[in-house]
Amino acid sequence: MATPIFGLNIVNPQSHSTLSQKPARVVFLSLAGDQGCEESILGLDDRLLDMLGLIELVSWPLLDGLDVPDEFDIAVIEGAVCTRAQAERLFAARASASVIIAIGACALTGGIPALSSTNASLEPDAVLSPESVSSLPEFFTARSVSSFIPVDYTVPGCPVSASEFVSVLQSALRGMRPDREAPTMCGSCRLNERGCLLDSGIPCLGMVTSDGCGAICCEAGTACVGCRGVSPSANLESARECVDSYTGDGSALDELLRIFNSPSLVSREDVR
Amino acid sequence: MATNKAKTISLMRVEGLANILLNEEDGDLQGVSLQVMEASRSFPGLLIGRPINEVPLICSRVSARSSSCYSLVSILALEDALQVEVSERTRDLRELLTLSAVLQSHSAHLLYSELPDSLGLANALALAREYPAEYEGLQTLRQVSGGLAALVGGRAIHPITPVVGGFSADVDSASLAKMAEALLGALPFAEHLADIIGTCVIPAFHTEGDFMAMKDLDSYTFGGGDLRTLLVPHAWDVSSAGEHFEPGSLEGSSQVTPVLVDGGRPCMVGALSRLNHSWANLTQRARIAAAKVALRPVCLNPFRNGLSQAIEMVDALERASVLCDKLSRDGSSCAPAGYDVKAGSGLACVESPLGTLYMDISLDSAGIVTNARIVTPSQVNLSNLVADINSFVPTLRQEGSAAVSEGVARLVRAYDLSFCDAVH
Repeated sequence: MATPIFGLNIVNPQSHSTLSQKPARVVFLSLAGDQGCEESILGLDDRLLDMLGLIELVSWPLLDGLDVPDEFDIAVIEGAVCTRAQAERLFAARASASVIIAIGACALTGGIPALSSTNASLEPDAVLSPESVSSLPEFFTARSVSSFIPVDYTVPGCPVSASEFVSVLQSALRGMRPDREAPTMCGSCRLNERGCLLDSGIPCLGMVTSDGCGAICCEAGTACVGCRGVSPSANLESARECVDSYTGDGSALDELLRIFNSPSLVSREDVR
Repeated sequence: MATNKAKTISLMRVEGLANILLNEEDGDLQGVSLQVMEASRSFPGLLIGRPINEVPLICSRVSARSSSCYSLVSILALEDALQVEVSERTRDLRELLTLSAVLQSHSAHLLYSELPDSLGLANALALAREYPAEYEGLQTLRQVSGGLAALVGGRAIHPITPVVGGFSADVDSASLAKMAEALLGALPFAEHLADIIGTCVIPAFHTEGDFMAMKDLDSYTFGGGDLRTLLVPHAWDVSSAGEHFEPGSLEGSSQVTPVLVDGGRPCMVGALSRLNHSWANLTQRARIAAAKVALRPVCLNPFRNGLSQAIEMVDALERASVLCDKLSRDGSSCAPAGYDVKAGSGLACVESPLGTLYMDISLDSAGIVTNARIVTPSQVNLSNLVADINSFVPTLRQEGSAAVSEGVARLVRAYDLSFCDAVH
């Protein structure tokens, strides 16, 4: 029987033809954040049809009021990790789920909550083990999900784009390889033909940020602040020099990067 | 020998993590308490050391559903510190953005919490099955309000365009005119929604706390006038508002600081409080909608907060439509006004969808934040909610623990309190 959800007729997952015998059981887990990514996804309209036809939504506390069960297949995780209890939930999720999807800047880099990382009580690059969780302080400076557990798929942004989330979830359901090859955002920005903010001496992270948002902030006349994370193809050294030459501020790029990208990310070899 | 047992029940369909704790002895309920599980993100601390232009974008991340209001209150506080004057178009666009936040936040709360609770349903998915027309109507309202927020703020959540002095991008007249039509088109459903919620049975209960809101004598305000309490009448100029907030505490919840008002009194803020203060300044259609369901001041029942939100949506749709129409014919500019960066302190107070939101901020001579304080509506409501839980539980106790936990959960949801905001 079809059930209208999100304005759509949702086919009973059991009767829907899928790639596997059973629909994937999906849970949403919220950590530290403003739940903007979940709000964004809840605002979906007709694009959720295919997704909900392929999954069994077993717990989404903001939506359905159902407790997270012990067993599920896919965990969608929003928010940064700030407490020992949250870290324990992550390891439990990793133990149960075959796929972990981290959504939003808070989950991917620590996001804005990690702005206080100068007071970090943990080494920024340390990846923790389940055994080490008990030694964590009860509360600590915000960290990314991947600081604790391996993440299979990511959806960047603050907040995420709902349609991009659906696309990533579909990739996960089909077992497709995660796409982590996003070029930098400047290419999209140029297509908008709005001119470059750097020409006006305004520091901008378009040169280093992963593309995919359509340069929405620059299009609205404000600088990119890097909420989609640093692109693997970014040349940070060159970008630093470039921003310095336009703004006369040698630290401008790194200061902007701090907003959404913790200092540890900036030092990672794979984003040089 | 008596057996003590603590039962923990997770609160669902609320923003953020919190539990209801039921303390039982030999199966008898001895006490009920609220436990906030959210970790503080230390927002005021995050702002220290950051430059002026980053403040609004950081503040908007306190709350997704009220992100426009958090952005705006920080901009207003900065403009107070920097003595920036803005154009009339900027003020109008800001009001429009605030109304979009009211519509976004209220429609989300009514869809996911209030309407399912009022109709005795488990959640919005059950609402979709049992009341598809109402579900579809609320989804449409969410889309229209998100569209309005995106039109003015650059996107539906976490606005981009509001900056100190104005907006980084303006809205074209054709889009505003089209939006005016869409908002008017949504009005009949908002009125229908108020009818439905207003005729649902709610628990007979009244809060013993006061009601705080901003009040303007001439308008139903979300950002003007002074700050008032109702039952013990006081009025404060916004410039002294910060002096009237006092930190409280909640046992077992170290990350949250509930806020008491004016000498330690718990107060309710939000739609019901605003309506109690400013009913007469609602638009005519909103007043008629409220009168039809007998919602008039002073209503002391916090379970009427959702109905008050539905009435505010009627008001906001009508006023936003008029504003869109006005702005579509207005050729003036909202380009950011210039200002000199200097040391100073400023403050601002607005009515966000969830209630009174206050911020003060200090800058050094280079425009770097040296201090900041944010008092969120959920902090204020938390104090009153805890007091209400204590007086509500005895009315349910004889019905057993399950009825108590369900009743308390419904009371928490009626407040439309965000635990994310409360700890920020």
